[in-house]
Amino acid sequence: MLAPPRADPTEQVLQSRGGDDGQSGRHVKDVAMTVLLAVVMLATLAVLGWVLVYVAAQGLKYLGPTFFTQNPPGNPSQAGGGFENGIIGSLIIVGMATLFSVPIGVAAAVAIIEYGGRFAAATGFVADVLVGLPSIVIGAFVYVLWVTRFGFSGVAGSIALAIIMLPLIVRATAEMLRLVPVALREAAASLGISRARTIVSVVLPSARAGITTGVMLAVARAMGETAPLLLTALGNQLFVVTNPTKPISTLSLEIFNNAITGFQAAQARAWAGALTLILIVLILFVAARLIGWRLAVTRS
Amino acid sequence: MSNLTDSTSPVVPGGQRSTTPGSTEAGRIEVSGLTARYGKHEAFTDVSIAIEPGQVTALIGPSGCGKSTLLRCLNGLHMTVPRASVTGTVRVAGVDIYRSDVSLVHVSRYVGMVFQRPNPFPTMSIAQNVTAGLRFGPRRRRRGPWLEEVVERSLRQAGMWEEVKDRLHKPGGSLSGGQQQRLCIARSLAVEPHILLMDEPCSALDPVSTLVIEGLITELKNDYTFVIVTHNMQQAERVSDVTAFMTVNGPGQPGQLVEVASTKELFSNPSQPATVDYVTGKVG
Repeated sequence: MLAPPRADPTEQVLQSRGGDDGQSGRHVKDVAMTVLLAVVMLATLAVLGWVLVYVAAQGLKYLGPTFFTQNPPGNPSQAGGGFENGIIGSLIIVGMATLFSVPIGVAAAVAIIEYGGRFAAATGFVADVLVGLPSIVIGAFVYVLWVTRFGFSGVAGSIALAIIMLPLIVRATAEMLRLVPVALREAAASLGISRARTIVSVVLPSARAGITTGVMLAVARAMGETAPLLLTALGNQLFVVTNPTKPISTLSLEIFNNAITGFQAAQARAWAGALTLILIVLILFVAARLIGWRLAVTRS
Repeated sequence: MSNLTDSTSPVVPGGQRSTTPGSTEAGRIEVSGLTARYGKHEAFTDVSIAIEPGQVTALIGPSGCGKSTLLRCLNGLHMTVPRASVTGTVRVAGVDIYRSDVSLVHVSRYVGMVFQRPNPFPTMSIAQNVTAGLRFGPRRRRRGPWLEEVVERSLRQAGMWEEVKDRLHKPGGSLSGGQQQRLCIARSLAVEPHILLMDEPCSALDPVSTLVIEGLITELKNDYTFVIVTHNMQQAERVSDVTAFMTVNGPGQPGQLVEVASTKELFSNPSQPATVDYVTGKVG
């Protein structure tokens, strides 16, 4: 800390008011708070770092190129094999869930923010409640409504994931639309641009970087969901399925199925699968940030 | 002129407006008995004023007197605020813009607006900002070489073509504040309105940029009718031909139009005591 210049009259006033220990008292508080906040910050980082390092250390023991090109062995106690079926299944199911939930979620957010009204407010409230709903409940819901009629399938899984993603997308998009200045909407109106056109050509593009980030958070959440998929997509532990009307395995299901066995070989595969899941989410996240960043910079 | 509701009125691609502004009805606004409300609160009551074509009309008055609201009533933007309402009439080019069959989209053909803070569309380039009103507005002309002509003509009118002609595809937000405001003026001019409303267009700008904008108004006033809201009385004296003084008796009270006179007259020889107090600096 810099020593205050002696000639500064305000400093003298402050010192005389606070007594002799005023200066050192504040100094102690300053140091104490700095240390406290640093400890809290490090603790937060440490938890995250610990998880990442531990998963990476365990996963890297087994993770190799064949992990992405092989299916799990028929006998889980056997070593070898990979999660190709789960990786492809995750991409299909989460991809479909994204296709279902993004248009509906963004449209709902537009209705809530741009049009408002009682119905829109109710939609916003329902979306907020839906966020807190346990995912297994959503899985059970889709099981009753869909699986009991059409059987276990990738479609059923993606419907369940879409319901999980929907409120996240609605909330993130609404938050971003709220940040778009009214001034832009007024400028568009004064140019004779209709309200609908303004939303499509001015408001949504202005918010697209934020919306992309929100969608990616929802995708990351869906990637890791396991419970609702047990009741909907069911899984297929032996080979790659690309037909979404059939039961499909996902990375999360493979991790679950391999982790709950007592076999060391299966658990090693589960760790490698967990690391793969983290990497996929990370790659998607970085990609989304890059896309969002590119979108924010105008090209002709 | 009664083609305010006619969405197919002729606009010659790349050409000038079919009517000469400044001298015709198209540039005239007549406000009579206008009261504007936000919910139950009255922003101002019973304002009647004629905005003459080809002149710069300044609206001055203390904060809260309703001058910005009056300006926003002149193109119907006031009605985009939730629970806002008006009584009385605003006639643009002879048509009451608050008639139920006249929409903001139609009014925009006659009346453009420049806002207090520069608000270029952040996701669009300089050129795209200029053509936004044409590309997305009621006339819907998506592409074609004449769009480029509009870009050049509008930016020239706004006095910034030379500054930006080599970076038309850079984002509008990359410009300085003063340039952004001129870009917003160019954007408004591109749709060829007859009247330009300006809501304290210089209050977010530095003195040099302010002078540039004022010079622009003086240059363009032969072709456009200007209505400018300003807190700066020197600015009103510098740029306007006619000044309207509004005042308000206290917080929560509705604003009132006190006096409309030629700017010279209003500043040198105001007829109302409230105007005298304001322009001589006793209040406000």
